[in-house]
Amino acid sequence: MESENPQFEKDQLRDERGAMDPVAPVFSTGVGIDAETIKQISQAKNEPAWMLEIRLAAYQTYLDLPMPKFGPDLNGIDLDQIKYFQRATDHIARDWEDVPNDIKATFERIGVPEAERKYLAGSAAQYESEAIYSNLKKDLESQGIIFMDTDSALQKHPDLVRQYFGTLVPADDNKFAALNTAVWSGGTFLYVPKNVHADIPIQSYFRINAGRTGQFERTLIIVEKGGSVNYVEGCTAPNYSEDSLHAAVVEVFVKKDGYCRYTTIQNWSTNVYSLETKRAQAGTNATMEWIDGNLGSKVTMKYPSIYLVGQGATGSMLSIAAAGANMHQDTGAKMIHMAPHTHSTIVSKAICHNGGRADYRGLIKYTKAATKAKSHVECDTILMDPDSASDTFPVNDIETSDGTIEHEAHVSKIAEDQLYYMQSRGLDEATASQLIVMGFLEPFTKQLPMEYAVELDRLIKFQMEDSIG
Amino acid sequence: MGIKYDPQNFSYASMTTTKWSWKANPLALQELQAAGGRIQVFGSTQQLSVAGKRLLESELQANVDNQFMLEHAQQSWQGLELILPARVTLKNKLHLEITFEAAQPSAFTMLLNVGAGSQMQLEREIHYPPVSTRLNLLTCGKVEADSRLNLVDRLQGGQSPQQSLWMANLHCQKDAQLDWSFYPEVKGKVLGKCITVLEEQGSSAVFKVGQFGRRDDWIGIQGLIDHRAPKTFSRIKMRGVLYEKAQVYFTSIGKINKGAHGANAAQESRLMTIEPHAKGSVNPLLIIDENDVQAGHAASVGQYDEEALYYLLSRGLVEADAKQILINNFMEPVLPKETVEK
Repeated sequence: MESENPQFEKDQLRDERGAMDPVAPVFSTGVGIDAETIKQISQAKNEPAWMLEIRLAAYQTYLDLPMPKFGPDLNGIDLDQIKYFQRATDHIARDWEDVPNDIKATFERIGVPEAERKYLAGSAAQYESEAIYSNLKKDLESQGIIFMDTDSALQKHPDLVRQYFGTLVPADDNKFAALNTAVWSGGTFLYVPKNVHADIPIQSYFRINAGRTGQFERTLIIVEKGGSVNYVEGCTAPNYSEDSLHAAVVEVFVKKDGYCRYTTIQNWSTNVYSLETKRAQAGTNATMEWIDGNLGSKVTMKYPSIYLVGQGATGSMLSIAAAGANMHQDTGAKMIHMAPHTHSTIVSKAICHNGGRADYRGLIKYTKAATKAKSHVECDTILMDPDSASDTFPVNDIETSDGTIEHEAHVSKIAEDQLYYMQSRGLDEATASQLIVMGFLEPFTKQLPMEYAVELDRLIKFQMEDSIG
Repeated sequence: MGIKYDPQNFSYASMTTTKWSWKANPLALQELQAAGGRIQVFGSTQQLSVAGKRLLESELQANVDNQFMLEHAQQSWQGLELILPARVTLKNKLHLEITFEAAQPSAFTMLLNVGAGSQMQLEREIHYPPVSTRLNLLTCGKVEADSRLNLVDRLQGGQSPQQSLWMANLHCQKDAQLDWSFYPEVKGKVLGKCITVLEEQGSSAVFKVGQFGRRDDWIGIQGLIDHRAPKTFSRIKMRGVLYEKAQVYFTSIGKINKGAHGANAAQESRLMTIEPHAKGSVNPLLIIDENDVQAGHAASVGQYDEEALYYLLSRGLVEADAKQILINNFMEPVLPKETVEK
C-alpha cells in the first residue's frame, strides 16, 4: 500500500542505536466495523488469504453472539463508535500537555523515568530501550527463540501461526473473542523451542512496536517440550488510552515438561473497558502460571484459564485487583482439569477503595478423566470504605469422585486488632493501614520482577492515600 | 443462583388432592395449647389466620422471581399453621410428624410464627408414602424480636425414590436467634432452597445441613442467609457423605446488604466422596455491599484423610471401623449425635 505519510520512511528510522523496525504509515479504517473494514485491515497488513477468511468468519460470529449476560454493566460501550484499526503512529498525536494531570502526578509519585512517562501517556512513540532490546533480541535469537509482534510473525512464520492461532480461543468462544479474531492487530508472538530455557524474563516492555497497538492485541506463546519461559507484559504505571475498548486474546501452549509464567500488570485509565480472553493449555507434567495484576480501567472482565490436558500438569493463578473510584474489576480464573493427577492453585487478592468494586468469578472443573486431581483456591478481599463492594462467585464442577478441592474466601475491612497493634507501636493510622495493605498483597508482589514490585508498591500507596486515615 | 437442577424432575405439574395427616407429641402440644399457642390446619374448608395470610402474601410478593413458589401458590392451599404467642418458653421439644398417605403429587404449606420473647424447640418429620411420589413443601415463618427457635427438619422417605421440592423462607427480627438443621433423609431427588432473612439488628441464624447420599440419589441444596441489618450474625454449615452413585450439590450464599455494618457471615460446605461413582460439588458465594463486615467461606470436596486413616489402622482398628470413625467425625459438626449412622 502506498505510504500516506512520507516522513516515516525506512531511512529516517535509523539512529545511533541501530535499525528500528519500520513504523508503518498512518492508516485507519475509521469508526465502525463491517466486512469491508476487515478486508481493508487484512489488505493493509498484506496478510495471507487464510487469515482473511478467519477474520471474516469471526466477524459473522461476532454479529451472531450476544453480549455477555453476566457480570458488570457493559452498556457504556458503543461498538459503532470504535476505531477498529489504526496503525501505531496514529496514537502519537497527543501533546504531553494534553495528558491528564492525575496521570502525570502518578508518574511523578511512582518514579517513572521522564522518557518512559511520555511513552506511557501516548505522547511519544518509544522510550530509550531500543539498545537493550537489540541485545536481548540477539540473545534470544541465538537460542532459537522467536520473539516478535504477531503481525510480523504472521509474515515471517505463517505456518507456526496457522498451526496454533485460534485453536485454544476459537472465535465463537465469546463475543469479544470473535471481535478480536476479526480485527486483531499487534500482540506478542513468542516461540520457545524444545528444551530451551529462556534465562531472563522476556518483557514486552522492550518490544517497542507492539507497545501501542494494544486495543485488539493477539498474543500467541508456544513453549515446546521441555522448554521454559517467563514472559512479562504491561507495566505498573497508568497507561493512558483514548481507546474505550480493549479486547485482547492470549493463547499459551505449554507442551510436555514445559514451563511458562505469564506476568501481566495492567493499569488502564478509567475510561477503558478491558475485556480479555486469556487461555493456556498445559501438557504432561507441564506447568503454567498466570501472575495477573489489575489496577485500573472502568470495567475489567478477565478470567485467565488453564486447560490441564496432560497427566501431572500443574496450573496456578496469582492475581490482585485494586478497584478505586468508578472501577469495576470482575476477575477470576478457570482451571479445567482434563487428565489424571493434575493440580491447580488460585490465589486472588482484591482491594476496594473509594467506592470501587472487585468481584471474583472462578471455575474449577474436573472432567471424568481427571482422576486424583487437586485444587486449592483462596480469595481475600479488603473493603476500605463503606461505598466499596465485593462479590465472590466460585463454581466447582466435579465429575470425578477421587479429587480434592479446597476453597477459602474472606472479605473484611482492615482488621482492627492489627491496626491497634501497630498504632500502639507508634505508627499513625495511615501508615499502619498502608503497611497492612502491602502485607496483604505481598504474596503477589514478591513474585514480580523487582522494578515492577517497587513501582507497584509506590502505586498502591499513592492510590490508597485518599482511602486511609 | 448456583444451584443445579434438571427442570424435568422439578417441573411444577398439576398437583392432585393431597391426603395427609399430622400428629404431635401430646406433652409438648398440651404445653403449647396451655400457653395460648396452636397448631391448626388450613385448606379448602378452614381459613388461614389473618397474620398467616399476610405473611404468605408478603413472601410471594418478595419472591416474584421464584417460579416454583409462584406455581406452588397457584395450587390449592393447604397445610398447617403453628403459632406460639409472645413471651412463652416451651420446656418440651415439639415433635411434629406430617405423613402423606397416598402416592400422588402433593403440595403442602406450613406457616410458623414464634412470638416476641418466646422460645421453642421444634422438630418436623415429613413422612413420605411407601411408593414413589412428588412432594412440594413450602415453609414461611417469622421469628419475632428477642425470640429463639431451634428447628430441625427431616424428610423421611418410603421404600421407593421420591422427588421433593423443599422451599423455606424464615425471617428473624431484632435480636432473634434461629438455629435450623435440615436432614433430607429421603431416597430419590431433592431440590432444596432455604432462605433466612436477618431483617433487624442483632438477629442471628445458624443453618446446618447433613446429608448421606446413597444409591442414585440426587440432592441439590441452596442455603442463603440475607443480612439486612447491622450487627447480624450467621453461619452456614453443610456436610455430605456420598456413597454409590449419589450426587450432592451444595450452594451456600452469604449476602450482606448495604447498611448491615458489623455483620459477621461465615459458611463452610464440605463433601466426602466415599465410592468411585459418587460425585458432587460445593459452591459458596459471598455478595457483599458493606465494608465493615467479617465474611468468609470455606469449601472442600475430598476423601478420607489418608494420614488419619493410617493412624487408626496402626492402632489396630479394622479398615471398616476406622473409616466409620472418620465419617462420624466428618459429620459431627452438623448432626445431632444420635443421627450419625452406624
